[in-house]
Amino acid sequence: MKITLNINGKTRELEIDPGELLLDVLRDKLGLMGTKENCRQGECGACTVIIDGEAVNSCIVLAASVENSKIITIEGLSSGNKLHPIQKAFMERDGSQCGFCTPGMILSSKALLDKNPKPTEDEIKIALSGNICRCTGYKNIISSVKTAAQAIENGTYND
Amino acid sequence: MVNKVEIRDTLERVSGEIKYVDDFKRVDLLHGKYVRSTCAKGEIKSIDCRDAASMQEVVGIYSYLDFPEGVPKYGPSEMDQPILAEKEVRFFGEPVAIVIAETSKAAEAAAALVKIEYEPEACVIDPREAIRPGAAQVHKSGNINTVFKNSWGDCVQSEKDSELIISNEYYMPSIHHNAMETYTCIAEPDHGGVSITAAIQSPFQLRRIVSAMLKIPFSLVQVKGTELGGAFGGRGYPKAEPAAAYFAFKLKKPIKIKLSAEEGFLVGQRESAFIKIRNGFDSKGKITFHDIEAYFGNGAYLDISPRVVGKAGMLGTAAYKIENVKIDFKGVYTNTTPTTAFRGFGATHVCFAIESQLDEAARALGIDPVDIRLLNLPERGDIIIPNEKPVDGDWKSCLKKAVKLGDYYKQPPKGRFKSIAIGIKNSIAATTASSRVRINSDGSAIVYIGTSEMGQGSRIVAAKYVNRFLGIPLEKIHVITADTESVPFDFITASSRTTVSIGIAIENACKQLKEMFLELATQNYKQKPVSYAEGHVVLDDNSKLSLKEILEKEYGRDMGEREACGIFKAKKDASNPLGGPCTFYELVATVLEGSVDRETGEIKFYSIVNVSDAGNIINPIRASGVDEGGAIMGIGAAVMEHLQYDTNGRLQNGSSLDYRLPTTLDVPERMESYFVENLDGPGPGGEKGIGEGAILGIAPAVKEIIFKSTGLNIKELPYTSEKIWRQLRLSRI
Repeated sequence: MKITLNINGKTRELEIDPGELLLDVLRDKLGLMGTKENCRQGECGACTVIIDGEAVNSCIVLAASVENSKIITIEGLSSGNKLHPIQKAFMERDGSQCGFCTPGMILSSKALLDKNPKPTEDEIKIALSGNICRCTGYKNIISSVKTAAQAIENGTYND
Repeated sequence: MVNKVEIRDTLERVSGEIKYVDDFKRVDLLHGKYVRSTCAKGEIKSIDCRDAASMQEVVGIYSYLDFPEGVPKYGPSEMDQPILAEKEVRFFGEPVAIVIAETSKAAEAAAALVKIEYEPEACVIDPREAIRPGAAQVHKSGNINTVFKNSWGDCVQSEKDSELIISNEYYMPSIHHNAMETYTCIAEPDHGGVSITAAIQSPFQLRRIVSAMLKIPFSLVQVKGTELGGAFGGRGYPKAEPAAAYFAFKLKKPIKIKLSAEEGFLVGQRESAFIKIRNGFDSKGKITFHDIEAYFGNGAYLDISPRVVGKAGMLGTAAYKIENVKIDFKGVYTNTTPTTAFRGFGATHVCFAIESQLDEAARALGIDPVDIRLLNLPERGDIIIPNEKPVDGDWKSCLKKAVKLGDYYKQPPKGRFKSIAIGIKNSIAATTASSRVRINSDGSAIVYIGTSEMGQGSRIVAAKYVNRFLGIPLEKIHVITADTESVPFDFITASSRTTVSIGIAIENACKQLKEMFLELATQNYKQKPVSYAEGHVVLDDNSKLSLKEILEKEYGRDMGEREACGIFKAKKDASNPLGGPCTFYELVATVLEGSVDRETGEIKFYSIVNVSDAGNIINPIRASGVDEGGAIMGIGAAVMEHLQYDTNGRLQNGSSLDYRLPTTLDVPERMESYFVENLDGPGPGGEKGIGEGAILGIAPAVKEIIFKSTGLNIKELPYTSEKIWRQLRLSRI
């Protein structure tokens, strides 16, 4: 079946199977490898994307069901050489080690900060509780989100 | 200026550009999908591939029936694990057949159509079962596969001098590494040989094993190590790579094998352990004797577990100086997933037992838990294990620092309790590592290391070393890792060893390069070189020559370069059962604060403070992050993680849905990592290694919190809320 997807501000027409999952369409059909594959059960958050402002596990979303939605993947956050403040904050506060959970973490963080620009630590923890990280112990990730919130408010990273 | 190493280390991870094995998309690959045993122990009665084979896009389906001369085998200790089960299955999930197809979808669909019948037999899941007389035998050779014994002094005699004897049995189940990247590899024919792309901690070990399996020289086997999406020991040794290499080599076609997250539970685990320990104490709390017996359940094949047993056995006294010791450790087969290296490598099990004993003794004798540890800790330079490296740190001071920084003596709010524990790990002995440092004609550098990058920041450390020794700016240094064809040999990225081994190798290479450039300056310039400083050769008239100038003078413009290869060679000593003294000890003191909800059995953590005796830290923010990760992994192992099997040996919770892992909600409000930097490690600047220490003290510290909160002395991990709740109810009856 033919569908049109709106990804990172661009619309694309694709031929897919009705049962095809958004994660697989992103990776296999569109070459957007930033969205990672792990559990395929909607449990670990590695495949997180933002759909109409919500952080969503793309491994359990049928591509056909999000035809009219605005989808943001990690590739949509940076523009050219310019990184999003959340990405810069993750670099500054060392919120990434192996990097595998990082795209998902950053997108869950963006979904949070877009709705709640001044989250408490508990609100950050709850927002990221669906993203598993095995490397960092989460502390630097939580710090990264706090720094990102401040940076966005103060324009710290604006060149 | 652009810092390429930093870009790879941080920027590419936050942008999502960094590539793991599955991100290399190719259109020429065949795809392999395993058909795995649903029987934990038994004979394969029949394999029916007819429906599967008739599917379009299926290239071949293989089982032991296709190997009349015997199924190819692999393994890091012995080549004991067949790539496909050979008539007998020995664990639930063992590969029985493999479907190779043109697409992964077709391979998966065909694999589901393969019908296998088994004649099941009684199985053993737990090492406690496996050691009983009459237990089902995993292999004909018997269930005990490894024995490590060590002893000194006289335990029997010193029993008479003991004021108190504490005897306990502890049990730690197997747990899963659960790195976030699933196990994936690509193997392809390569000019008569084979080339493997895999996320593996030991490209050179994989090369050795595949070379032995295929009976071809190392020069025909290439392993290209990629970025690892987490490892923790789970990527130390081969999983699907030997099978992929075999079929790529034989079929002369490139093959990708990608394991699902569920399959990841079926290829590697941490050893379980049943530990029987008896300690005697004098009235002051000094350990009079230490008699420890342990049975490590290592699953159906050896993998690296014999080494784990030996390593843990060698460290059987943990951080303590004890005069009378008897260590008897065994590796035991079980009909479960083969166990492998796991952060801690057996030290976790030893530390859990001994720290628990110390806490119980402290209570019985009315002694402060800190004091009982101080009494038994050695001094720097003490030999606490015969033929082993002397104590290389001020461990008492590290413990005291943890007491202070962790506010151990500060009274917590009502219902909350504090505990303290020491974790220690002996870093691998008798290995080598080499590094090649190459100075391009423009003075920039390329550093070649065999290290596998998993987010520990090894490229940054390597670049910083070259910057330190040669004065080349970080922005002009590129680091190449983990390709057996282009980098020199490094044994493995594990055991917290990289900073020390690669550091010394790089230092050596840089020393040779300095001498080379000084020599070139001597030959080619009228003025004489007097020193090397800040990336330049300084001449006797105070003029400075850059490396680029010196090369240009010698070879012509952009016409030549220089390189040197340095080596780290750890000391070998045949009197040490592990081949030599450990390179260093990694010691971490942990202070924990927590509480137990007496209604639900749930444990809540408020504070984890780790102090690591690290020698010298090169990348402080990353080092803290690694130790924080270790601490949270320790929390997972202590309170939620265990692999659960039914009586038929079928894994019940082998998926993300069912295997509970720590999330952000499990992070305490206070978590801090500190480092003691006495510059007393073997690295070029006094570095030791880190990476494992922070997990080691967590489980016994949690045990003590539970005791202080509830009076329960629970000796079997994990401390799930269900387990605590049940014990609380039983204790009220």
